[in-house]
Amino acid sequence: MLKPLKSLALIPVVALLLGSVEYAFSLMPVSDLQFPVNERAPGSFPDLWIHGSKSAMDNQDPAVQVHRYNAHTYILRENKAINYEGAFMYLFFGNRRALLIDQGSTSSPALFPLRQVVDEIVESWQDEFDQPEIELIVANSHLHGDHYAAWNQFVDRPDTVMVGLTHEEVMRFWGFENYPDERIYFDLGGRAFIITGTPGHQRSEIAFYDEWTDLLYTGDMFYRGRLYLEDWDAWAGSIKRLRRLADDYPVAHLVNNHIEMTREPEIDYPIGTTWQPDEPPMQMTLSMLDEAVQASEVIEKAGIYKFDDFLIYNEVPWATTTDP
Amino acid sequence: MTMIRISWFVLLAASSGGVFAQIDFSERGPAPGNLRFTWIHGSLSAKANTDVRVQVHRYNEHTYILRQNPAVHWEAPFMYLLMGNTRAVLFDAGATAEEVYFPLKQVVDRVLHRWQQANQIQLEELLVVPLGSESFQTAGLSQFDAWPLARTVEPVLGERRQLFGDDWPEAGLLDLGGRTLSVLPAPGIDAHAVVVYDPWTQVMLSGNSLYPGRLVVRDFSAFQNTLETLLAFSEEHPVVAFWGGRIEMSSEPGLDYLLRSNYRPNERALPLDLAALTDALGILRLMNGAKDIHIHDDFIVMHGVGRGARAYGWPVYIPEQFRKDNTR
Repeated sequence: MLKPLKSLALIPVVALLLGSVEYAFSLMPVSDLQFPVNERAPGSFPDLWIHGSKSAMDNQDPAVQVHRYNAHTYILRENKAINYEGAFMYLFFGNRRALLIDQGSTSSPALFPLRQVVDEIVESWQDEFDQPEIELIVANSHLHGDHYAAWNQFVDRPDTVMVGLTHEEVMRFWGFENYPDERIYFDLGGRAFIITGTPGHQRSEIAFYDEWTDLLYTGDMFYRGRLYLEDWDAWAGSIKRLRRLADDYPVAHLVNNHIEMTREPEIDYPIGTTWQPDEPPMQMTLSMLDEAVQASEVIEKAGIYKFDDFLIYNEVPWATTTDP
Repeated sequence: MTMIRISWFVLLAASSGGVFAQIDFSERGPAPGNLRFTWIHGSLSAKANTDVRVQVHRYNEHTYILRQNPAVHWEAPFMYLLMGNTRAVLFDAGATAEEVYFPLKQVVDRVLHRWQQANQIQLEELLVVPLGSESFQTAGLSQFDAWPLARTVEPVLGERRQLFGDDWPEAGLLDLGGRTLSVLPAPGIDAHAVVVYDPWTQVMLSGNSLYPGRLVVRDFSAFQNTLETLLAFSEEHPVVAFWGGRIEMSSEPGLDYLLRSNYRPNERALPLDLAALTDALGILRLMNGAKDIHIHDDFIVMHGVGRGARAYGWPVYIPEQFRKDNTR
């Protein structure tokens, strides 16, 4: 028979033990999310992105399309009826940190409420994964106005790091000492990224490789559209640098900033169009990258060069169009 | 109050019961009109645009100018609605076929309804006549198909000869009932382009052939002939203004808005004067058939290049540091 006095005396001891265990748990990270690099985290793309409408003023789509590639990866697109660029933006989540790459082509929060959309995603993600307030890094693939227009919407956001909109700020934040050749290893709360310089379209451009999803984000220097190259030699170097990166790491898809091609090989939608009813997918393949690498070894002169899935506008002013 | 209204009504009914009122279009001097306002010009975000889809401006009591909202179609063409004692004519039919986006027929119907009421005239016919064959002049034609009052005249020789008379395509006349318009063929930019002269307002509707924008010459000698014909005509007839089909220039001299830009807050005014015509002809004589882009304050003449060509480095090279995004 159990001695009642002794067992009663045990209660506070047990309680103390249990309490200290709970306390110890509260010091540990809240349910750490795992981003293993040895297996590919799957994800999906929409069959069709929102793509404007025949009469822009009659467009009923949301201002920002939010597509969840997988649990911790979001791809956003600006409505083409707001700005014809229809730019893509990316939101990557890691433990207690998130990375927003690019902020679209429209500044006004009334016309293009990017901050509100991002805040909503962040909050619901925090709730879903029981994460505390996370820090948001507001970064850019490159420094062109169609990719940082809504940057201003984030300047007063709490828990936010603004990378900046000058070459020097970008280099300092990512820690480049030997731009563009260097590979930077960036830890987004347990999610590993490899960042490298990809100038050519713009002199501060960077590419991101996500080791968890195996997505290679190539920004404006390689996408399904008109690759406007201000510096051919720099671009030729960058495209080869991307190829070497893809040699060293497995790549699931190449993702980027715009869709300007139609589904017909070599044919693009004209610049400025606010309706692209027959868009190909945004993501690209390694064989397309190979085609670009090949082109980078052949092309010598300024001009427009057509390929099935992209056009090279080598040192051609962007305002020039091929309209008949 | 009621009594007065009734007596007005009786008076109107009495006057309209007999001979229809006749508008006299033969007075001397140009019929005055007003253009002192700003056209709708799109918005930063076309999605957020709340302007009317078809802007209606009454230049004077029998002359209306319509403009398509750039947020519906970036070409934002102008259309001209002229009334006579028996017929009205709508020159050009806009860039969009769908009535739900661009209710041209509905707007014209309402304008004509009120005009007929106000003038006590029962129109016999509405002619819908594109001044050329470009899609931004003809897309809305189909809206008029099922309207008994309307007769659409496609930009083809046969239909036009039927309307403009047997002399067409040398020259043509279009009688609206006391208001007889002269029609001149104007090939060069568009092989099927015509220009219309209204002796009452003394305005030349120059459509796609002379307007504050990019004059992309496709047939050089034909266009030079056209301008010479227009100049000769202008020497015999008083012309107060040329109204074109679109505006592509900004109010900054020589600077145009890019193709497909649907927000143009600083557009140049619509009318061109006779000096613009003589300048255009002078430029054409200088170009002499060569591939060239010539920038004039009020328009740009382009030959041998597409309408999206820019003039960086041509004819004068602009070093990169002095180029703006929108530099010609």
